[in-house]
Amino acid sequence: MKTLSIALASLVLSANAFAHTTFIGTVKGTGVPCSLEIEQTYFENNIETPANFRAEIAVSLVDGDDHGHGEGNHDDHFDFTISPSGKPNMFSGVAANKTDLINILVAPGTAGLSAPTAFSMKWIHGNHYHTAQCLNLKLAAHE
Amino acid sequence: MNNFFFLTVLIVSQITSVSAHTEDAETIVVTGSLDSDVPLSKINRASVVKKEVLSKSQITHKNATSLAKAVDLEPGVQTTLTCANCGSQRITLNGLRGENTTVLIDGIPAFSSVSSFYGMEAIPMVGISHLEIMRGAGASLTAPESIGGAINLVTVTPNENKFIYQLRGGSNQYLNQEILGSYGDNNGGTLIGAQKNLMGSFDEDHNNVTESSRQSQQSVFIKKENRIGDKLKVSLRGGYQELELLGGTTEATRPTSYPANIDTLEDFGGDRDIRNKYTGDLSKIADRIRLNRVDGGGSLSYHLNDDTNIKGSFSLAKQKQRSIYSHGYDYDNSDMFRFFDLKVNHVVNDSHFLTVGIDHKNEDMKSSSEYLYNFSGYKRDSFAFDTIGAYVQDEWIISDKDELNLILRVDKMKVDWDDKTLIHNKLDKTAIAPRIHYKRVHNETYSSRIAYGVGYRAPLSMFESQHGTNEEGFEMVITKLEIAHNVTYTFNREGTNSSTALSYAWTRLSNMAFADEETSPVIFKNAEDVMSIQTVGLLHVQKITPDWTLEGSVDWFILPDSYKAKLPTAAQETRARLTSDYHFGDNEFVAMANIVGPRNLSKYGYYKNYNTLLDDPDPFSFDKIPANQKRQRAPAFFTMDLFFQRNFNRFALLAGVNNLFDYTQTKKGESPLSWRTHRNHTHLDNRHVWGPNTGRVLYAGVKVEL
Repeated sequence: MKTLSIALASLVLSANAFAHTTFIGTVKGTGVPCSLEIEQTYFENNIETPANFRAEIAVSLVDGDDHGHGEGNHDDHFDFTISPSGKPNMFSGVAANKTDLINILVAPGTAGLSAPTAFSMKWIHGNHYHTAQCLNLKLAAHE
Repeated sequence: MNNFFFLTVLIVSQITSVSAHTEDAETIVVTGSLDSDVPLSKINRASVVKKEVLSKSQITHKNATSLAKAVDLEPGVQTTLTCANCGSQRITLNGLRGENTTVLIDGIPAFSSVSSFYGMEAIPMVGISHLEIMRGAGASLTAPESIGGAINLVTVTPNENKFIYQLRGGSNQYLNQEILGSYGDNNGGTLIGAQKNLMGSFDEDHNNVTESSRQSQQSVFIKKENRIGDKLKVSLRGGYQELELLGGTTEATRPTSYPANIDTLEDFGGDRDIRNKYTGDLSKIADRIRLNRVDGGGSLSYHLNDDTNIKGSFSLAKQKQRSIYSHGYDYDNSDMFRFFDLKVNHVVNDSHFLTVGIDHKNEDMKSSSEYLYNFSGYKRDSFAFDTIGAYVQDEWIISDKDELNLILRVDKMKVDWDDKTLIHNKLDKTAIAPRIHYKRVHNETYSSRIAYGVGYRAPLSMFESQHGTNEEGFEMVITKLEIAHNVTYTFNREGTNSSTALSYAWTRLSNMAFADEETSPVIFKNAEDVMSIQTVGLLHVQKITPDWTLEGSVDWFILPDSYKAKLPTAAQETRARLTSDYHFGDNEFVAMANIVGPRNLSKYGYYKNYNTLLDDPDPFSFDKIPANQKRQRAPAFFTMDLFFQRNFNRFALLAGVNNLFDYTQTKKGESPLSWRTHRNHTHLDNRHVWGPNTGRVLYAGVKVEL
């Protein structure tokens, strides 16, 4: 119970402290910069349990397979709703199109999305899927 | 083309035939193709330029319905399948790629780089008198881009009243009909013909994905040739062809738009093994390519006097392609090809025959795609190509034993890729190319030919070697012309009952254009390394008896690894062929055996091909792990074709079998289908091609000749 309370407190703290926070990393295989921005965190139905933790995030990723040449092509920017995956240190999310998927790894022992280290994505581009990973996420310096 | 058109041609030809019969009933001769006089040598003796001739009857023995099938396995020639689904077949000469082969009709260039990609399967064999295969850069005076060589389709001369109808049908939906009618005499006449054929797809491992596409082709053509007086000769021809290639899908499902989802990861069962049955939507694996081609050409030859002749030639072709690819995109193009040539031939004296000419070639290709251009916004691959050339040739008879051809060509080439902007979008080059052909007759039996030629070609489109684009478009970084220096030596022995030809060809290829698939987008660019491609060939023809001829050939293609890596699919490296042609009474029996040697496929990039795709054990990753790499060594294989014909008074019955032992790479456990690793992802592909993909075809037919 005590552990749960601490976790909950941490989540509430992270929900407030890490909104509009951006983490920068590099794409596996290409070294191209990628980013994860936490836009909003909340608890579903206002029930403050770890299982109900949610985050609205935006990620930017150009993997070299998906260069987004087209006008109005937003393939390198994705929005997800994140929730706990049920696996240790990992959150998962699905995009509004119900097909794009994301897994986010966080540093062990950290709360919520306070310290993401990497994310992995699978997304549909036109009519086929791509996968890519963004590694070595670091908190971006404040502008 | 609808059946009505075909029927019209049939009726017109029959009318031609009937009128011929009425007017000249006493002189009708049944000329049947049962020709016991099998040529002792394939090489045209009189020509300084080495020409290998393939007769119409030899084409018939192969059951070849298109150019691609007719020339396959001829000395130094390969017909390579570049993708199993889309059915594209390229004709390569001396180991050079398909884009380095120029196809001529009656000596006039008639196909562009774009129309050659699928077009080789669309070129009908009806109306063809024979084929001339000229290997080596500079083989054709009017085709500087023929770095590998040129194939000349020589059409029938309409100088007699004739009607031929041929029907063949057999297993795997095979059906071929050819009809040819001609009306004329020594002053000229008219020739009209049509062909319609169908070959079903092959799915040898019954996994619901075909290894060879369904092909249907229809064509019609007309040729008019006349001498007007003593000095003028006019020849005109026109034709229309349709081709449909339908690959991947086993149920002839015809997609009309690109599939909304091409993810096939869950469609092959456990471990995503492509050897399992495909259970997904057939539209996700279907390639459908349709071609419509209208072409025309002709020449006008006028004798100014006994020593001088002026000749003008032209060729026009418009081809439209509509295609849906299983990679998930649509791609259409319209390709307009124009060629004009004007030359003067002049007999200077007993030793020198001079030719001076100019020509102009133009190609304009416009592409469109809903997915690639409208949805994804990629750059179009449209281009405009224009070249103007001038040439001079001296045919010099030095002595009874020595003959020399000296040629010099100058070409100015311009290419404008109107929508490609990555680095360069224009090419403007001038090239000068000398060529020398020398023939030495050692004695009545032995002769030698040695040739040196330079070929140069403006690379125009990624379409030359693979689909015009891929699902992510491509960019153009072509800054140089492809240049080839070629040396060929042939030693000929022609005896009373046998002939032998030993040949060696060496090509030094610079600036080879290729598609670099390891970048994004794919970049079509010039290679930096210079490649030496060599071919050694031995051909022997032996008359065992006046009615029995054996022909054997061995080819050895020596290709550098850097060249192999840039080819779309694996080339044959060693092979042997034996043909037996035996006549007895009114019968002819032909057996053709082919052996292709083993190859290391990893050199061709096949190390990227896998049978299964596993989940990444890391739950964080969405990646799939390719496993169970496909075979990296193609085994030696043996195929055999048989043909039988029995002649009656005015008709012949024929029967045969292609691929008698039903040898296919799929039956050996290796279908062309694979998971192909491509940069940092893996996708379903069908380019693991190394052996036959069409199984056994039994056929029988009838030929009526009046």
